[in-house]
Amino acid sequence: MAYLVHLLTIANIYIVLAVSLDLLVGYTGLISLAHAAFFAIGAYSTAILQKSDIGPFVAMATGMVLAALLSVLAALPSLRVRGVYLLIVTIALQIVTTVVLLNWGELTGGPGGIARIPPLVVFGQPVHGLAFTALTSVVAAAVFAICWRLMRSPFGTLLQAVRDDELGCLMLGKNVALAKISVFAFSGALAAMAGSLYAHHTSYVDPSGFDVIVSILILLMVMLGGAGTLYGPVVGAITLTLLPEVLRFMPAPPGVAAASKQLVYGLLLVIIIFFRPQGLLGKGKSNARG
Amino acid sequence: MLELRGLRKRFKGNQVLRGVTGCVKRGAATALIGSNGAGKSTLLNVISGLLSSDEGTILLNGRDITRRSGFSRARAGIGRTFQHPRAFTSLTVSEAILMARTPPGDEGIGSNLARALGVSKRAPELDRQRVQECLEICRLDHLSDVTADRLSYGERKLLMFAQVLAFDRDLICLDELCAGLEANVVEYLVGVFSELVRNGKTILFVEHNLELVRALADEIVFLHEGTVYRSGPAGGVLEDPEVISLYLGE
Repeated sequence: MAYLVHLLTIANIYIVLAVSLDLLVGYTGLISLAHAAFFAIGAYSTAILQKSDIGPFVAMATGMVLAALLSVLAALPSLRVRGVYLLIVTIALQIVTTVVLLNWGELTGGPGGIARIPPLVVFGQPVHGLAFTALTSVVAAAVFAICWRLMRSPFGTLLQAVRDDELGCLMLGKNVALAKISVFAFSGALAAMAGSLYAHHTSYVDPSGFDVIVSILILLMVMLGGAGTLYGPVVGAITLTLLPEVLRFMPAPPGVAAASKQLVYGLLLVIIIFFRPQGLLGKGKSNARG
Repeated sequence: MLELRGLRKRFKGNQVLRGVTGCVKRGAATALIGSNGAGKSTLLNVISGLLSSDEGTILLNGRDITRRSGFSRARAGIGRTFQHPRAFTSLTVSEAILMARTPPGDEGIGSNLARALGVSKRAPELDRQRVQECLEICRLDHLSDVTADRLSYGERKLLMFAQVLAFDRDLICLDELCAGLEANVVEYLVGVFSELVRNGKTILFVEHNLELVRALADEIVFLHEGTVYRSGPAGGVLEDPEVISLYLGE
């Protein structure tokens, strides 16, 4: 039961990560592999600031502001480059963040990380277990609802227009640069909030939980579920959080159990993307009218 | 309205614009004509800020906009269409026109996030009435809920024009808007352009269709090998023997 509660909490945190990344990837067309870096900033801000008696929500807010500022750094190259070139820049940012986490030992604890992070305290009461799962469910639902409304606002329409035809937007007097910077900052801040919740839940953070593999996993959640829908990434996050656990019960010879389950995991992903390249809930290309 | 002084532009060793100087009169329709490769589209791209000039000055209403970006020039008063139709493929026709109409202040993340959070009740100024007018003017009202990726070539051109109408700039630059459109649609659009000019808009348009030029243009600029060869009232330029020889090959 406790493990199921843990899985649900992790799924909720990944929902926040995937939905926030979908604003960049799905709606604005900016492919980023730096999302785990912003996730890390939130987690480590909470881990570090909790030691100094700062309230948990102040620590969370600090992490969100720092992540938003770092996101602006990631956004600046996007004003000049797109596609694979932007991907390379974001990978570089992700790697630099990981290197800093590993090497700035005095602040981050280095490879050993930071342990004994206290649980989140709300109105003077520590929140853990099922109550924390409920809290993260509320947070995930709230983030989804806010992003849903935001993407159906004029700002959301502008982001989609930027994705479709940036030049066309410029010729209509749209401040494309500001739109990109804004969405990067907002997306990064949400990822940091998820990081703060993660730190409280696991009570321990270390660099291996926030490396480029995690960024790839979050991007996979978005693409698998269906980029540009918001509900697709929710499904993607739940699927990729639970799938490894479901595969635990798959019968396999003892010597190759782990490898065979990884193989099945990979094959399932390939099959899904092959038959549904737009993702499980993504919209296919509409046919041209006669 | 628009003054060009000594504009020069080179592409990979090819001098496309060789010191273009001229002006576009306020409240008039000025046609930019010339043979293929004369530099017409390049000149429009330089005027709108899509390309920067190597030398020269551009003044809009007396203000130097030479170093301003494309989006800044658009905000300053220049709207344009493109030679090949561009479209926001995931937006519906009405969404695309509404987006063109929406002022910058209503598109920022701050105000929209405040509304999404329920903190602000102020509704954005969405001028749906003007959007409907643009749909009707461009004969796209029956396609208002169709996404742009499903439009035909001609419909995309009309949508491009509808967006420029909604954007409502004083100077409208049209780059071969009527090329590839049916004759009856072209005839209809000439009426629309004339009405815009009567209402105080300034139009600078690139066209190869001389009937359209004769029907609409008050002024003509004849571009030849990157320079302004002749410019002036439409009738005079089109009757100039040298223009006829160089452009029409007669």
